[in-house]
Amino acid sequence: MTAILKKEINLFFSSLIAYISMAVFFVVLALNLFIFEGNILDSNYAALDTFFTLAPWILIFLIPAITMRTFADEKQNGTIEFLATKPITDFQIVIGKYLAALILWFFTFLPTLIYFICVKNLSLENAPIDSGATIGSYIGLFFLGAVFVGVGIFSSAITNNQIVAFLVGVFLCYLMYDAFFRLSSLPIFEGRLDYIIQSIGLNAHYDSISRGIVDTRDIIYFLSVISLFLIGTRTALESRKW
Amino acid sequence: MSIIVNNLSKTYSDQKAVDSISFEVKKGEILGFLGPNGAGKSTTMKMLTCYIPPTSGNATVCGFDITQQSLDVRQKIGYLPENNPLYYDMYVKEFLEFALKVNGQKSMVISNQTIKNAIDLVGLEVEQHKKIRQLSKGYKQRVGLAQALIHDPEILILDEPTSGLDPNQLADIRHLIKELGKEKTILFSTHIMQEVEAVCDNVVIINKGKIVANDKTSNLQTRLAGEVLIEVEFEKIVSETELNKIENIHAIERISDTNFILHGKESMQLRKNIFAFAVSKNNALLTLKQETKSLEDIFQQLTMVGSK
Repeated sequence: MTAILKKEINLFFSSLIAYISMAVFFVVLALNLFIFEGNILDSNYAALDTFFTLAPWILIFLIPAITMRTFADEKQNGTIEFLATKPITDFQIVIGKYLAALILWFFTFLPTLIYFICVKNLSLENAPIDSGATIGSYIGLFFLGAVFVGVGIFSSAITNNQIVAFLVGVFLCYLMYDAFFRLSSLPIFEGRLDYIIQSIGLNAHYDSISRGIVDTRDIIYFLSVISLFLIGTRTALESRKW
Repeated sequence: MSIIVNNLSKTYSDQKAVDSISFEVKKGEILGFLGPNGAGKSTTMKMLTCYIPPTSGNATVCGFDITQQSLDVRQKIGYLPENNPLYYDMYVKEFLEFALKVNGQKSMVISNQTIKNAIDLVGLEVEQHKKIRQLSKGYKQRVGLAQALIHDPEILILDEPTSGLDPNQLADIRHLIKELGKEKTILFSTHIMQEVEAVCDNVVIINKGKIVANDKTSNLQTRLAGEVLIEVEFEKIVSETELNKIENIHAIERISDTNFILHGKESMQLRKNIFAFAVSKNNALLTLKQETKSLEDIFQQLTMVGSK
């Protein structure tokens, strides 16, 4: 597993994938937070709301782009046969690849803590940034990205075409993040069902953590969704045996 | 027995790729697995290496069942898949180190010596600092071989290790396989006959998923060569009807009015008969040459019959 983890990390950092994803994420969000219209300096509030609303939407595209080649490429080149005939289980391959992409996501996520430090230092003493809620939001965002990585890897495992993997990944990420939330607000689900549908989606749990309360239910939710997609990935790999 | 295959079958939707085949490979033996394209060679190898499960039947590798003890099996084998998939973005040494690690070697115990030995063995010294992408096909093939044998497996399963190589590289790789065969059990597939003649102790010929021959390479040559071919050349014109009267002849190939290839049996008697025939017709016999059937002919004979 560590061999695969290391190989994937090497691949990310020896190609431009890692640097570009880190730069894209950091720059786009910095522009929106500090420079473009509606930026934090004009709004006079020491809060990172712009960042936490926009970041998931960028991740919906960015993470499937990072993960699209993980399995699709191996299937296309036949190297999956090399891996699958070695004395390692399919699940070890999946976990190795998942952790590698997760580490890349972590390093993409890390520089954005600078925003927090900036805003904290810019804010007035009598109106400081709500550190608790912001840290909660950061934790929520990290888990959100971790789920997207799982979704992206799963999409990559069900096809041998990277573009298909990317598009399916984007679609599933969108579905998980926004579609359930939107669906729940349809009039037909008003009453009891809307709450259930809403809690299937990521949005509700992301918002919940963002309030600064790290609820174990939310953490368990994130971890279960990740596990679900990783098991799905293994199943997709094993489909060659059907 | 290193490999025992027992009634192994693989069915893809409605097509039988491998149809109930059985064979054995003894320890330290080189077995040539031979068949035309699409005969089921690769499918069999994929089953033996636990990449895909059989539809029915079973097989053991070093005593481990391929479906029940898949990890143990994979520990024992070195496998070169068809088309030699490699990570083109890796450096040769980096890839070999990776191959060692996924074979379960701890990174602490991996010595550069192991990697160096493998590189020396397959003759990659000059290219060892390059990226795999930059290598020529022959050298990529060597990298493929190196990864298969780097962890010193008991059994090597090589799927068409020589496809697409030039004649010099062919000779090198064959020589290498033969050398490796002194210590290891090797199962290798090919559709080139000379390869089997040059390298293998035993041969299994497979066609349309079924085994059509399974014998020692030398036996197969003599066993199937019960029919002899005799090339004759007469001085004067001879008609086929006249030739047909000669005893022991059952087929005649006409090349020209004076040249024929005669198919028959009991070579000695047949040649005497032909000589007697020439004498009786007062026709000089210019050529009388017995041809031994090559494995190539046997292969064609065996695999063509199935396709009729």
